[in-house]
Amino acid sequence: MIDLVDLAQARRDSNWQRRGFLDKVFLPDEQQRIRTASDPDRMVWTLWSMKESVYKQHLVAGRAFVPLQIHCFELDRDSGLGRVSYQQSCLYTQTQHTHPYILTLASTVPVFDRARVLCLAESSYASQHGTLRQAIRSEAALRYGDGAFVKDADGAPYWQQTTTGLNIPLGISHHGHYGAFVLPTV
Amino acid sequence: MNETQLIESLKEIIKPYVQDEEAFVQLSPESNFIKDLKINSANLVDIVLDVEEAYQIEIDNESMERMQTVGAAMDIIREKVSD
Repeated sequence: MIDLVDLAQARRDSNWQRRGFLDKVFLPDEQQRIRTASDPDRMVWTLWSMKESVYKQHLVAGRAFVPLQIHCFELDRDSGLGRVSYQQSCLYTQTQHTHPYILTLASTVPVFDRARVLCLAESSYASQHGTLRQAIRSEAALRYGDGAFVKDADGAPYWQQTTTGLNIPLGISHHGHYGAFVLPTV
Repeated sequence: MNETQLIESLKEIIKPYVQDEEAFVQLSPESNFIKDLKINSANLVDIVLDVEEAYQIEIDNESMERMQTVGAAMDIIREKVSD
């Protein structure tokens, strides 16, 4: 549903200019977008987050690493709207750009929920994760009423509503110093 | 190259990308790169490229797809080296 890329963190972790890197991840038309972009680095991570959204929607069996089978076939730079396909499935994406991060939302229909982004203080990954989790719990309780934060066998997060027993799927992403979440409208 | 040598050289390649120290210490052929060693998927590409360079082999997409665990990486290296 949602993928956030902290650009400074991504630059620390990966060197996409490395020989052979782009060929393993991006199709020819995607590499063309990167080559002609005014900010190729940002384009790389935009396309990467679009592909990542396919994994987050659990469309790839066993979470096999198959970036070349996932095609970002549409991307409008101005609106940030895009489309990505994998086998028979197709997702709409919307990428928001800020100086420090990129945030991509994905949906099966061209309607996107609003995401909340948190800037997580300089500290351990574990404590940042705790802060993010706390914020999600507070908002989910407000929005959906009493419940519990649960994960399924694949590690996908849900808010389990106390009154109905319903599991509401949540969108969460944590990268570098930023965390984001989406509480879908039900 | 025997099993021990192979796993030791692979460990050296993987080490810079592992985010879970304890899992690295307990590394075995069953260790899953993403789930157990907490390697982020962009760095999985780096590992594939590092392995290609170290062993002078080419890892095609179908092989990369299979390379989810340390053991799978070892199988693929053996396959490609004998090609």
